[in-house]
Amino acid sequence: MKYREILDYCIKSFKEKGIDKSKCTLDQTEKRELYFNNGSVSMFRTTFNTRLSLNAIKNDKLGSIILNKTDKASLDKAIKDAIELANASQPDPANDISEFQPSEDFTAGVMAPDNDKMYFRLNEFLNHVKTAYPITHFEEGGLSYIRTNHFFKNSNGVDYSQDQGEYQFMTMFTSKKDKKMSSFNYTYKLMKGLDEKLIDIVNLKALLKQSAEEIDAKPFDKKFTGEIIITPDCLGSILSPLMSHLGDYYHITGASLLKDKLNEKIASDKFTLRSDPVCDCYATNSFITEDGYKNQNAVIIEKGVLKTFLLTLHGSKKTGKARALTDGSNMSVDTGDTALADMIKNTKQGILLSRFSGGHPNNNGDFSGIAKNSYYIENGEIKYPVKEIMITGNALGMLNDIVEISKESIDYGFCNYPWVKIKNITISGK
Amino acid sequence: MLKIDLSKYKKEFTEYTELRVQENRSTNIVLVNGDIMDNSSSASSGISARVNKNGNWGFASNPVISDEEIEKVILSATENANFLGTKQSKGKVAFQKRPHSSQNEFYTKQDLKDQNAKIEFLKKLDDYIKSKYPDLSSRTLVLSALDMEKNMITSDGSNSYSMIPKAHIYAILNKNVNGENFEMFKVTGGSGQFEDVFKKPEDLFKEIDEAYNNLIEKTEGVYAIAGMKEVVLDAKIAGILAHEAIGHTTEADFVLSGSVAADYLNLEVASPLISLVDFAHTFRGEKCPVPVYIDDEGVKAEDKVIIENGVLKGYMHNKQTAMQLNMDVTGNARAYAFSDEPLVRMRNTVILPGKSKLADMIASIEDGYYLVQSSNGQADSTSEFMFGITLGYEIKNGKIGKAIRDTTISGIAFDVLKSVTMVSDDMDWNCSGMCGKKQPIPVGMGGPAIKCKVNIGGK
Repeated sequence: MKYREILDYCIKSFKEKGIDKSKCTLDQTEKRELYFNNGSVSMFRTTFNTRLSLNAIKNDKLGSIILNKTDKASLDKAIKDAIELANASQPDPANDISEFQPSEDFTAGVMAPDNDKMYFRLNEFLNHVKTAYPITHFEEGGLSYIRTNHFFKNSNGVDYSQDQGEYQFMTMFTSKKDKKMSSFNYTYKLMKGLDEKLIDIVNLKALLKQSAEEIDAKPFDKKFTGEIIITPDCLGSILSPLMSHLGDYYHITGASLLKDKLNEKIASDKFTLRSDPVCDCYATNSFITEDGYKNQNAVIIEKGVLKTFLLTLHGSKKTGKARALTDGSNMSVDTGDTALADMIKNTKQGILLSRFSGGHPNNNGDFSGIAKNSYYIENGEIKYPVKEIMITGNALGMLNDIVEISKESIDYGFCNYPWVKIKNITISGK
Repeated sequence: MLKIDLSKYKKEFTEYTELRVQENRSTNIVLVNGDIMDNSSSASSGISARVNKNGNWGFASNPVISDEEIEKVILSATENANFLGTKQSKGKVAFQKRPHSSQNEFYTKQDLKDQNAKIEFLKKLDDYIKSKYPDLSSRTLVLSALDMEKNMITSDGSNSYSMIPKAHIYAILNKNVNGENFEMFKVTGGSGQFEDVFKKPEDLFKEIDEAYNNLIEKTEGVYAIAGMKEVVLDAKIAGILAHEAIGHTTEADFVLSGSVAADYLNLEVASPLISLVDFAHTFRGEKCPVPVYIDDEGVKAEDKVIIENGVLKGYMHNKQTAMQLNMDVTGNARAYAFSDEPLVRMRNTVILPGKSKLADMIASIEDGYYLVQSSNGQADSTSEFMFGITLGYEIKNGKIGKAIRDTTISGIAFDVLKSVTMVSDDMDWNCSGMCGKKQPIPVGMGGPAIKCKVNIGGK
C-alpha cells in the first residue's frame, strides 16, 4: 500500500469496527547525516524511518497507538490494539477530531540532498576553525539533510500532506589552552541550501571568538540588581516558560499564570512575539497542526498585549477557550529601534547573557540559574567574560521589564530573535 | 520476538561491522484531575549496521526487518564508510578485540496486565488523592514504561540478546495559596516491567502522603538566601551530582574534546571521602537499576572506578576512545534506538556510601540548607553544574528549619567534591530520568547524603 492508501485502510477499518471518530498520521523520514569530532568528519549515516500514529475515539474514549511498520499484519494488529485501548479508557467529551476542510498538499524546502556538497561545506568549516580558532575544540556536531513526507487523515474527511526537506547544522564546542578552559557553547541552524559557508551562518563567528576569550573568564564576587542583555542565542530558552503557560497542560490544570490575561497587557509595549509556521522566510514550515488544521501565521503578543493562547482542539474543548490558529512554531520577536552597540553603551551595570543553564521556573515563573558564556558590562562597556555567576528573576515578570530591543536579529531557520535588554534582575557571584 | 539468528549475515561483513536488531516498546498513560489525557502504546523497531573502514564510520538503518533489508543495511553502511573513504583516509584502525556472548532478559514472570488494569491502577491512586486532599488545585499522574529489546552481533566475535525494562509513576500535586501556585512531584518505580514494579495502588499511598506534606511545607516556605552555603545534599540528589557534574566530564569522548577531567588523571580531585564508580550491572550483589552486561559494540560491560578515595582513576570508553587514549575498553558504548549508533554513555553511576549518619551531618551545620529533591540538572565540560531544587529546608543551629521555595544550586563539581566533609552510610538509587546526549538513554544513578559547599540561588 502507498502512503495515502495506508491511512485510508486504517480509517476504513476503524469505521467498520464501530469507531466513531479516528485520526491517522504517517511520517516517512529520510536522513543523511555527516558527523564530526576531534576536528574531522567521522561518520556518514543514512537512516529511514516510519511513524504511523493511530487514534481511535469510541463513545468519547480515546486510544492511541504509535508504530513504525506499515505491512498489513502490523496495521491490523495496531487497529485492534487502538480499539482495545479506547475501550479501556474513560469517556471525555474533549476527545475530538478536526472538522472537514478541503484537501491540500504542501511542499517546501529542498527535495534532494547533495552529499558531496555537504562534505565539502563541513570540511571547509572544520579546516577554517582549525586555523582561525586554534584553541577551540568540538564536542559534537554535524550537518544533516532531513526529508519528511507527512500525511494526515481523519474520519471527517480531512486529508492533508506535507513534503518538506531541509539541511540542519549543529555544533557544540569549548576552548582550552594549557589548563584554562571555557564553558561549552553551541549553535544550530536549519537551511534551505548550502550556498553559504557554515562559518558565516547565525552568530557562529562571534560565539567562537567569545569561546576562546572565555578561557580567561573571571569568577564574579559582586551581587547587584542590574540589567541583562539576552542574546538571540539565549532568548529562546528564556521564553520557553512563557510557551508553557500558553499551552494545554497549564490551562487544563489551572496553573497558567496567563489564563485570565487574554487581550491584556502582559509585557512591555516594545515586545511583539509571532509564530509564523507557514512563512516562506523560514527554512522549515509546519503547514498542518497536530490536531488536523491548516496552520496559520499569528501574532501571540502584540505590543505587549496577549492576543492568543496556544491551545489545541483538545485544550480548547477542555477549557472552553478558543483554539489557537497557530501551533506556536517558527517564533520570532520583532526587532526594536536600538542598535546593539547602543544597548551596551546604555547599560550602567549588567551582564551580556549568551547562554542560560537554569532550573525549570516554578509555577509562579520564578527562576534562577547560571549565566554561561557571558560578559560583565559596566558603564557602557563590555569589561570581561565572567563565570560562576547566578541570575534570579521571574520569567513572566521580566517581560514587563524589557528596556530595549535591538535593531539586529538572527535567523536560525526556525526562529528569529533580536537582543533584548531586561532590568531588575538579581545578579550574584560566589 | 527479536531472537533471530544474526550469525548468517556475517558473510556480508567486509570490514569491522556491528549489526543490531532492536525494538523499544513504551506505554504512557496520563491522568489530569481524573481525566485521561494520554492513553497510548508505541513500538519502534528496526535494524542498523555500523561499519568502520580506514577510520571512517558508516551507519545505516531501516525499520523493515527482513533478510533482504538486513543485507541492504549492511551494504549501505559499508558504502557510507566508503563514501567518506573517497574524501579522507584516517588509516587502519585496531580496536581491542574482546569477543563476548551475553543473554539477559528481564520479562516479568507474572501474568501481563492489560491497559485497562493499568488505567484502573492509576484511577485508584487518583481517587485516593482526590478524596484525601480535596484542597489540591490539580493532580497529575503519569505512568511511563519502557522495554528495550536488543539482539546484536559484531564482526569481531561478540553476540548478545537483552530485554531491559523500566516502569515509573510520576505524581504531580498542585496547590493554590493566595493566588500563588505551588507544585510537588514524586516519582516511584524502577527497573522491571509494570507487573514487577507496581503490585497495588495502596503501596504508593505513603509516597503520596509524603508528597502532599512536602507541598504544604513549601506553601509556607521561605526564599533561600543567595550565596555560597554549607549544605547537606540528600542521597536523592547525590546521584544527579555523580552523573551530571562528574560523570559526563569523565566520558572519554568528552575527555578527547577537552573536558576538564583530561588534566586530572591520577590527581586528587575530591575529598578522600569520595569514591565514584560507574557500575555495569551489579552493586553489592543486587541488580542495578539499568543493568548492562554487554555494550552495543559487543564489549563485556565491567564496573569502572572513576574516583577512588578522592583520586581520579579513569574514564568511560567505547572502542574508539579506548584506542585513541590507549586505555582498556569499559563497555560504555550504548545506543538508544535501532536507528542510533552507540555513544559513550554512563550506566549506573554512584558515589559510594561513607560512615556518617544523616542526623549528625545536619546537626553539624550552623547556618545552611538541607536539599532533598531536584528537578532538572545540567553540567558543563568545566564540571560547572546546575540543579533545580524542588524540596529543601533551612538548617539553623543544627536543626531543620522552614522549607525553602524552589531554587537552583550551582558549583564547580570538582571544587564541591573537595569541600565534602561528611558522607552518609545510606544510599538511594534512581533511574526515573533519561540522560540526553544526542540521544536519550536510560541511566541509573545514586549515592549517599553528602555535606559540602555550593552556591545557592535565591533572594
